[in-house]
Amino acid sequence: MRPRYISTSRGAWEIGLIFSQTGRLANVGTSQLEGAILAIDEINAAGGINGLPLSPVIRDDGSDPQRFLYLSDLMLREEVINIVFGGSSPEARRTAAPMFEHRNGLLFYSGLGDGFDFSPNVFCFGLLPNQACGRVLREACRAEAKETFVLHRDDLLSRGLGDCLAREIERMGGTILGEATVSDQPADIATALARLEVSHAAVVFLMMGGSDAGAILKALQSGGRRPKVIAFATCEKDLAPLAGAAVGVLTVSTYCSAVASPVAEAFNARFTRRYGRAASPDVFCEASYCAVCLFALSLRHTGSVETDVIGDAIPGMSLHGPQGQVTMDPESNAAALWPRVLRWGPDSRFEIVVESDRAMMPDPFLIAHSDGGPF
Amino acid sequence: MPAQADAILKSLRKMRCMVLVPAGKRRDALCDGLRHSVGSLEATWPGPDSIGPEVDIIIAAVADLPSDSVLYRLERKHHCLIGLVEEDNPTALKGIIDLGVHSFINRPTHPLSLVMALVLGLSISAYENRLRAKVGKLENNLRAAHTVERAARILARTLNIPEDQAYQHLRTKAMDRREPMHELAMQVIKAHAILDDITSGRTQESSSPAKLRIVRGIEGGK
Repeated sequence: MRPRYISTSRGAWEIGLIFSQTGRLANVGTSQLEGAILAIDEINAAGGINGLPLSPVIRDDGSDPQRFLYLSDLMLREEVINIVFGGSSPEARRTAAPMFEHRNGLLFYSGLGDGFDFSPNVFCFGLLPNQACGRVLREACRAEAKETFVLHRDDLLSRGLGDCLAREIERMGGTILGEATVSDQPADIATALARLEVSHAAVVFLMMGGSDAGAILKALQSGGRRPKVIAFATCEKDLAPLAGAAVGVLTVSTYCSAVASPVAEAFNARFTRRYGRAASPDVFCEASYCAVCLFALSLRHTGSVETDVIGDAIPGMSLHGPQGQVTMDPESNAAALWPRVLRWGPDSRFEIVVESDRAMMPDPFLIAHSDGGPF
Repeated sequence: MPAQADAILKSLRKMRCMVLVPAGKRRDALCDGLRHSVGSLEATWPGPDSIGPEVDIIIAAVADLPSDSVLYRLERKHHCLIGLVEEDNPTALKGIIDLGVHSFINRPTHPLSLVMALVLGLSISAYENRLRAKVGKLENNLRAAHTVERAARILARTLNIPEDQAYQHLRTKAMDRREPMHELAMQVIKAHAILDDITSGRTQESSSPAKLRIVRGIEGGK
């Protein structure tokens, strides 16, 4: 059976964009929105798809997974839109996925993945734990990662990354001297940092981005010792306001403006033209851009926006994204991506420390116990 | 009209419908009502020995079906099953549960309730299929994890190396051969079973039933 419930009677291919433009995940969501809009503008400027433009319907979930569920449900039920680009956290994706399965919509998720999940109605474009905690991380900090400390939030991303990271640290011959959970409360951060100080760890892993990471980095700078910091889930928008406090911070990511390839350079130039001279695209922007481009490719091939048609077409599809060749793995509905370790420089830009020489396979269920093989 | 219902309603016109109702006025009335909604219609009784995936919707007179009807043996992967029940027939309740219908039509039938029954049935059967696909993928993942773990244990024991190193061997080999890791792991397990049989001087028939069961269990799951 082929339910079809997007209408082109309004003279456009309507798609939903539901990101966290406000709240804790605003940096992630705003970047995702910028990437999606950039892709849509480019596609429409080139004549649209089969003669019709893409028309985005934009909503803000305020960093609340329940609000994301509510808005996407409304979009599927009342606004006759079955293709949604959205979700700025694993919580949002997990909360909404059953609804997308029930109503047979498609969710293109471009936030970071926490693994141990599969849905025929969800495609993931962000790094999974096995891709983030893989070979590139090992190469970047094998020498120092002997005595480590892990700061995490009580959330899905921390839990998903935590398992992979612990194994990776062991593989590097290191030990975890201590762990602490951090919430939004300043008192919490102070307690966690006191424990970190006592542990004398040389390397700290931060499992969170946004303002939490900012507060911790600032506090670390005012402390006496400065351990090496590897912050997962962070991006340019998080670090730029911190000035000196963020210099030297490492992250694992798929994209920054330092990626050198003709596709990436052209992408950076188009982004700057669209959003202004000071702006540069980050990992979430690029992931969301790739998601829209891959959808557009499948729509062009099939000429249909029926959920079942697009849902069948996308697995196995591939495109030359700014980060490199991005391929949707049909086994996991997650993309094979290009992990890179980046370092925040004094010029408030990321530089590339280590990059993979090939796309890394997603392994959401950690079956291959791997850092991702070649695609 | 809500979007999903509208979509299903449109898709109805492309669908193949099979009506399993004894010939007579009752069947004719049902077919008259259906003809406007579905793509193609075939009425038959007591029905064929098997029903292929090309049929999308099956509507069956629940109380009249023989207990050995093909509908009780259907591998329900493609079909939407709808029961036709008489208002004054008490066996209908047992029938719709035993058949596991996705929706039912009451007789006499109002045109709107006929359409509602079709749309509801199709929506539920499609959702069932999506969940089945998801469960299938999750089961494969569990099986693959188990296979890789077993193969790593075998390698670790055979080569006398730590299990972590055995995983790495498996992973490197799988990457070199561009094969999924769990498929390579399966080959290791099979090869090990054969070697074991040869070295212990047994033929497959004489090896222990417990062992055979394990090997078959993994094969069956591929």
